[in-house]
Amino acid sequence: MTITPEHLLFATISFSAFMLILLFFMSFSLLIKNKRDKEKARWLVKTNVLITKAIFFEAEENEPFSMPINKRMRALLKKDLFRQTLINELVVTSKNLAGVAGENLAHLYNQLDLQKDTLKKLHHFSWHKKAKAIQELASLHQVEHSPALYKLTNHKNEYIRMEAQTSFVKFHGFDGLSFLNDITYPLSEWHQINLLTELSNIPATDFLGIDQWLKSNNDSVIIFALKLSASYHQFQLYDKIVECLKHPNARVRLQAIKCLKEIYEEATPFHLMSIYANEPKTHQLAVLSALKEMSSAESIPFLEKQLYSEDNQVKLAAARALYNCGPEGRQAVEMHPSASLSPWFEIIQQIKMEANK
Amino acid sequence: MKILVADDDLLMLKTLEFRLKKDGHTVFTTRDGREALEQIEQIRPDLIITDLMMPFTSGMEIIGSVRQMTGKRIPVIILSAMGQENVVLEAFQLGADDYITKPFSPNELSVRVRRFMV
Repeated sequence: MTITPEHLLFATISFSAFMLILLFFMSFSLLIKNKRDKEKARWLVKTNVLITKAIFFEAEENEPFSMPINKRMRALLKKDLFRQTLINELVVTSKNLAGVAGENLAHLYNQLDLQKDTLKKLHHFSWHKKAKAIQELASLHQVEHSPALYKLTNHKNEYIRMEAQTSFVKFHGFDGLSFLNDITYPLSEWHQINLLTELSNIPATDFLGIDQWLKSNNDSVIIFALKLSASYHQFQLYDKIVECLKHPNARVRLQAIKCLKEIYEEATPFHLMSIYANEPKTHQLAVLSALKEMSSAESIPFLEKQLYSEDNQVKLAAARALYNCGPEGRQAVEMHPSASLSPWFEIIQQIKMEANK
Repeated sequence: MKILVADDDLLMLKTLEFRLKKDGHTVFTTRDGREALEQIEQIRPDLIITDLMMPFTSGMEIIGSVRQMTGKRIPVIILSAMGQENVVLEAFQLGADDYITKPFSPNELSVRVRRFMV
């Protein structure tokens, strides 16, 4: 087929028309975006004024919180986007303010019936809207919605259940961990850190339930319960923690070793030494690190034996533990038959340096 | 008392300004650390309240520069987020006088500011 001048003309006209339409759409969408941004900036000024007034609002004695809202604001509050902007600002501000000021933000949220918007999102099918709704309810102290949040603590979506679990702890403190009785999905390492951080902001209370969680069918719950036992020094759970040393899951066993390092008693070195031989290297190193902490004279012969391991990391960990076991242990390290040879010479120098710090 | 408040959160700034003005103080506000340093030189405040995390110049740098710039001892209150204990310790070593952890109550801030009124 030959290309005629008519074909070229048609192609040029079509291309130009396409470009014009594209340009038109781009300008139109930019125009709308700019308009929205300007509107949002204007709204932010208005929401800031409203929030500042709410923070310092003093209700009459024995009267519920009821701030006067002017006509213009009432009109704006009919717009979904404006209400969401206000909720966003309330959430951010509530993270910075406590006491009466923080409570007033929640009162304003209730007065303007903004929880309706949040609940709409909570029942939305998309996970990020649900997660945002949970955050809003938690930040604005909407405790009455905690039963709804409880149902989400075992949601199939990880982000939803993480938000719901964190919020439940925010609402109810240590008692909020009751969701651990029912969850079937694992708690990620990151989420466990978040929960422990959240708990550290709350005064320590009764710690009921840890013994049950140590027997959970969900291994991540056991691991978390072990972390709780270590953080809050739950000595009364000692026997149950020792039982976890025999758990079929290696991660549970490792956490149990780490936990016993924090809450040990006279018999702990024996428990740790008895499992040592059948454990992988990571666990063996954890045992040696725990024995270093316990510095018990009874562990000296065991540690001396580990000095002859073929693995240098094990040798170093055993030597560290021994060096911590008083003069007898130090002598065992320094009098090692290869003390003047590599790697023993370096190991001893390293340990001495650490001990002098 | 002339108080300079530095925080990059506009709403926080407005809230603090409102509360401190209500208490009868003259309040100057800024949203970034660099501007805060300029204001310190110009207005010579009697007290500085600063957030630690700010654009351009951090609250920590402000604390470090205050005495050098003005030649006098201006008390500094730090606003810090929960879990920044190490940073707060460092701030005290640099010369901060008090700190408030977010979330905080504006009433508490008001009481703490009163301690610096001579």
